[in-house]
Amino acid sequence: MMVGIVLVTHGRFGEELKKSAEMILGSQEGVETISMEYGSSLADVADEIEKMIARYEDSGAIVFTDMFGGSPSNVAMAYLGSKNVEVVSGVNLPMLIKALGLRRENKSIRVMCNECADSARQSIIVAGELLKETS
Amino acid sequence: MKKIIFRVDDRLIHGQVIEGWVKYYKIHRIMVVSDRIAGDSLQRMIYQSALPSGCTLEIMNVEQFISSFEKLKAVKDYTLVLMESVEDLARCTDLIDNDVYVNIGCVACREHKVEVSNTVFLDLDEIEQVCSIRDTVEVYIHKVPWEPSVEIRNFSKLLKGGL
Repeated sequence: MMVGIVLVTHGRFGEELKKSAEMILGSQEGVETISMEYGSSLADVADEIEKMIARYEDSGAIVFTDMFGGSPSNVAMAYLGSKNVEVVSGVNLPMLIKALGLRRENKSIRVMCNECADSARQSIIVAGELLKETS
Repeated sequence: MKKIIFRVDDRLIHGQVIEGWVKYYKIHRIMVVSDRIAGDSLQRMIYQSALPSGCTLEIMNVEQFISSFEKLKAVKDYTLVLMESVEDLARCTDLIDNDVYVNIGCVACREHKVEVSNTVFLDLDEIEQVCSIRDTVEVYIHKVPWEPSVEIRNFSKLLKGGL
């Protein structure tokens, strides 16, 4: 069984991010999304995260959140102590695509997370700067 | 803006606080006042790490906050005091005067709650608690600083209408 991917975000960002990744890679299994909307209670979001990570008890799960310090991230971090769960904040499309690719490679969750974070960092480019370097 | 801001926000430190209040008023000092967080070392660690850079955070229970409030009043910087519930705010009623800006930012929706704004849902007890604080000072629904604040005026209608 593949490592579970849980996207916890402000609004429906995670759902749309999943759809966007699927446009590129085709449909994906084991990707869960949790949307924190206006009026959502933190306890309900925490319950949902708990349910999702329980589903991946054997394989482990990575919880991706949109912004460090935001409530999706704060709630998710409470599960860091759980077996085989890691939380990575600042999720973007290249990061998610990287994670979906890495799942087949049988790496440890921590290694996967580090590679995802590197890939996301490298994906941020100011195009004008890039042109200056090549010209 | 007044130097001391009391905010009821059941998410405590989160996106609206970091990107909104802290940046807008250049706040260097945040207090999280909650019996639950003060007694939970994991939650303390999480909120400590969620803190925007350049900010200090103190986490204390409601009793500790009430007894240290006099010292806080002497401080010149802006201080953002975050509480999880209207009930905790009501416990601090005696501290509230015209030098304190009181706002309600986020209170999640649950059963038997009335939608007061798109982020604030209150039950009958909470509405009564807010009404009694409002006898002393104005209380605003205020999500982020650049959006207009809404003074709570229509509560008597909500109360009469029955919840």
